[in-house]
Amino acid sequence: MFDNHFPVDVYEDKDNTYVRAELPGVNREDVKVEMVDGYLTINASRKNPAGEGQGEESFSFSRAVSVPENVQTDKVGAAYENGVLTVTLPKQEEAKPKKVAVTVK
Amino acid sequence: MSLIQNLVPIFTRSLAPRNGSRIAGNEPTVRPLYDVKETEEAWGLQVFLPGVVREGLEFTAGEGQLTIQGRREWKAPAGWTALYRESADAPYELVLQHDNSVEVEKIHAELKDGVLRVSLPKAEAVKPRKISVN
Repeated sequence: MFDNHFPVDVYEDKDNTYVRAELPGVNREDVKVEMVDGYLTINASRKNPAGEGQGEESFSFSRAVSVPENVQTDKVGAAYENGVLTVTLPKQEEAKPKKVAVTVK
Repeated sequence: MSLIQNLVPIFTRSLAPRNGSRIAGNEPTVRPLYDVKETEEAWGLQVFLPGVVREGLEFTAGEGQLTIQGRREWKAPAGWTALYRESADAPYELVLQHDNSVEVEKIHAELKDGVLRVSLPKAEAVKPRKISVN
């Protein structure tokens, strides 16, 4: 029904980039989030339980979202709540604006 | 109206919110994705409402229609800047006409992971009935 496409929002603050994906009703165990070459790939599937007179239906979703280069890939985390998957991508230290105090003689 | 139309009710969609709905007439709303399946005993309705929890959901049945309204609970924290948006912040609203073919008292609904699954038992008059032939 979604045509394998789901809405995605990208936000950032000074520490992280965030990707929120609207994926209602998917199975947590089937959600796969991968980082490859500057792309975040989200794969998920939903199974409709077999109802009266019909078998189980299965839908799968896949989408790659480009993310900024400066991600600490080993610290990426994801949480799924109320049908929304939020992926948190911490920025690498060099990318955070650094304040350098300069003394003036 | 033809006999066929009376026996087979259609789920139609109305465009504007009715007076007295919790979401005021001039607030923009978004229609959620949904699907309807039918069996002999009931209709099964599935409405996709990502980001909605029980406290933000209002489901009313009356006057021959079902109204589902949902407010997304999450708001972006203050420090966040949106780089790219596809979803909307507007509340969800779905109105379905059923011209009294549903047993309203027996409606059963469940909200889990942003999906509202509703079982709408058919009114007796609408269930297929065997007619014996002499």
